[in-house]
Amino acid sequence: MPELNSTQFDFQFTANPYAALGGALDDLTERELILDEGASDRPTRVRTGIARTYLFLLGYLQKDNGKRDPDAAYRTALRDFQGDAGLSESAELNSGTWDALTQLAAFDTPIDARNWLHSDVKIVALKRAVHLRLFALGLMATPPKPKSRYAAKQLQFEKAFEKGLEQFVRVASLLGLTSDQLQAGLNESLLSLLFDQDALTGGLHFHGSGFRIFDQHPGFRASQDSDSKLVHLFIKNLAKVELWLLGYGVRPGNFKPEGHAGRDNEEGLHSALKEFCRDRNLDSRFTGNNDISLSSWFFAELGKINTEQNVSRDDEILNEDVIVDVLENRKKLRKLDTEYRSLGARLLDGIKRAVRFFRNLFRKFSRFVKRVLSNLSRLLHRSALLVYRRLKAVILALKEGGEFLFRTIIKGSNPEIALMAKDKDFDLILLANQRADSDQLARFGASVNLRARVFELACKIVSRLLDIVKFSLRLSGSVLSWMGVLLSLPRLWNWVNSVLLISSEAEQLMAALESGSYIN
Amino acid sequence: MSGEEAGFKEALAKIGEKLRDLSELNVRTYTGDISAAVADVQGTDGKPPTAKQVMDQVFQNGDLEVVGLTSMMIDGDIDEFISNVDTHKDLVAVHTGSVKTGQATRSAAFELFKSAIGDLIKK
Repeated sequence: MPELNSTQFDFQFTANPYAALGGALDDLTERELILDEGASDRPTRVRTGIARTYLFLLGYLQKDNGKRDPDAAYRTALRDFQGDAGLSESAELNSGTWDALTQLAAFDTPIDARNWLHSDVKIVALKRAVHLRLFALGLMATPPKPKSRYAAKQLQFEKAFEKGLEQFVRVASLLGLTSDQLQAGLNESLLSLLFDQDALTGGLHFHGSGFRIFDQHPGFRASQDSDSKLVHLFIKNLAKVELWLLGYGVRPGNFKPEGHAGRDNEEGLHSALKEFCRDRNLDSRFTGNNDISLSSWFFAELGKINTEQNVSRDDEILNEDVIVDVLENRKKLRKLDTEYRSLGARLLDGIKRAVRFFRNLFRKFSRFVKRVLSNLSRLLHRSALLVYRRLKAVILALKEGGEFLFRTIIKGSNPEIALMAKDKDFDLILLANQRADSDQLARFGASVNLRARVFELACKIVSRLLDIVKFSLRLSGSVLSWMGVLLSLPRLWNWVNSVLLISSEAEQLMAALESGSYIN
Repeated sequence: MSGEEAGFKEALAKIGEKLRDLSELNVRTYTGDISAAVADVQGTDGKPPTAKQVMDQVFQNGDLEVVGLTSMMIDGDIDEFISNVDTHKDLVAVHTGSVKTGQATRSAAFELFKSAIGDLIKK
C-alpha cells in the first residue's frame, strides 16, 4: 500500500467551482427554479451553470468559467459525458443527462450503483465519479482529468485508482464504517458506501479530540503509521465535504474554477470549523488559545443537524428543502423588494394624485380665469359698444346742436307744412302753411321741440367739456399733491356721472330723431 | 390804459350788448300759402334756394296772417298777441310750443355762455 502523507492533499480554498455553484444557487430566482425536475426537459440557465461545474468536477472540462449559457466547450464536454454515461449524445441537458450528472457528481445524491455497474459503457463515467469521490476524501492525489490527459497516463491512473479504492476499503475497515466485508474494486457494496455521505459520517460519532480521534475510535485497530495518516486524511476531507455541504467556506478536494490547485490550506478547514461552532453555539469546543480541533463532536453535531433539519443524504444536491429554503429567503427578499416597490408605487401614486389635483386645480382656475376674462371681454365689448354708441350720439348731438345754433332756418322745415326761422338771439319766426293739417303741424312742432332739446343737450355737453378743461387747467396749474388729487376725485366722479347721463340722453334723443318718433 | 386792456373792455361791452339782446325773446307765428310764395324762389349761382331766401320771399310776396306774437322779457314781462280764429287753434298750439322751445334754447345758450365766460366776467 503506498504511503500517504498530508502534504499530498494540501488545499487552497479560494474561488473554486463550488463557490460558483453556491453563487449560482444564491442567484436563483423563483422563476428559474424548477422544483419538479421531471416535469420538464428544458434546461434552465442555473442548471446549465451547475452542469458545467459537475462536468468540471468529473474532468470533462478543464476549467469552470461559471457561465450559465452553453458554449462550445460545454457542449463538447456534455456530449463526451453523455457518451460515457450511455446516453444519447445530444449535447443537450435533458432530464436523463441531468439525473446522471447529479448522481455522479453531487455529493448528496444517491447513486443507483447496479445501473451503472452493469453497463460496459456507463462504467467509464462511473469511474470518473468514483475518482472524484476518492479525490475529495483524500484517497487520490489528483482529481479527474480530461480524456486527453488520461490517454498519456492511463496506466498510471489505473494504478492510482486501484490504490484509492484499496485505501477506501482500508479506511472503512479501520473506522468500522460498514459491517460488510468490502472488496477493493468497483462493486456494489463499495459504491453504496462511497456514495453515501450519511453512512460515512454516521460511524464517526465517538468521543475524541483533535485529529487523533482514531486513537480513541472503538473500531480503530490500526497500529501502522500509514494507517493513521490515511484515517487522518480521510476524516479531514470528509469534514470538508460536510462543511461544504452545509455552506461553509471550505471545499472538498482542491478544485479551483481554473483547474486543480496543488496545495491544501488547512486554515480553511479550521476557519470553517470555528464558524460552524459559533453558528451552533459550541463555544466549549474552542481551546484556550481560541483554536479548535476536529473530533467526533463534529460528526455527532452533524447527526443532530440531520435530525433537526430532517435532511436526507439521499436527496439531490438541489433537494427540495434547500430549494424551499432558498425560495423562502428569496421570498423574504422579494417581500422586502415588494414592500419597497409598493412604497415607491404609493409614493408615485401620491405624486400622481398631487399632480392630478394641481392639474385639476389649474384647469378649474384656468376655466375660472377664462370665464372671468370672457365675461370681462364681453363686458369690455359691451362697454366699448356703449361708449361708442354714446360717443357717437354725443358727437351727433353736438353736430345737431351746432346746426340748430348756426342755421337760420331750423332743420326739418318744409314749405308744404311749416318753416321756422331763428335769428342769432334765438327769436323765432314760424310760418305755417295754411294747407297743412293739424297732425302735420303737431309733428313739425314736436320735431322742432326735439331739435331744441338736442341743442340744449349739446350746450350741456359743451359746458361739461369746458368744465373738465377748466378743471384740468386748474389742476395742472396748482401744486399737485396727493391730497389735491384725492379731493379732485369726487368732482371727477360727478363729472363722469353727469357725462354718462348726458350721453345716455343724447343716445335716446338721437335715436328718436333718426327714427322720427318724436319725444314730447 | 394799454391797448390790450382797451380791446378787452371793448370785447366785454360787445358781449354785454349780446346778452341784452338775449334778455328779450320774440316768437312770431304766421300762416298763409307758403308753397305758392316760395314757388318762384331762385337760388344763387344755379343752386337751390336757401331757407333764408325762402323766408325773405315769403315775407315779401306772401299773404300772411298773424297767428301769435309773443315777446318775453328776462324779468318776466310778457307781451303777447294770440289769434282767436278757430282755424288757428292748431297753429296757436304750435306757437305756444315754439315759445317754450325758444325759452329753453335761450336758457341753454345763456347757461353755456355763462359757463364759458363766467370766470372771465368775474375777473
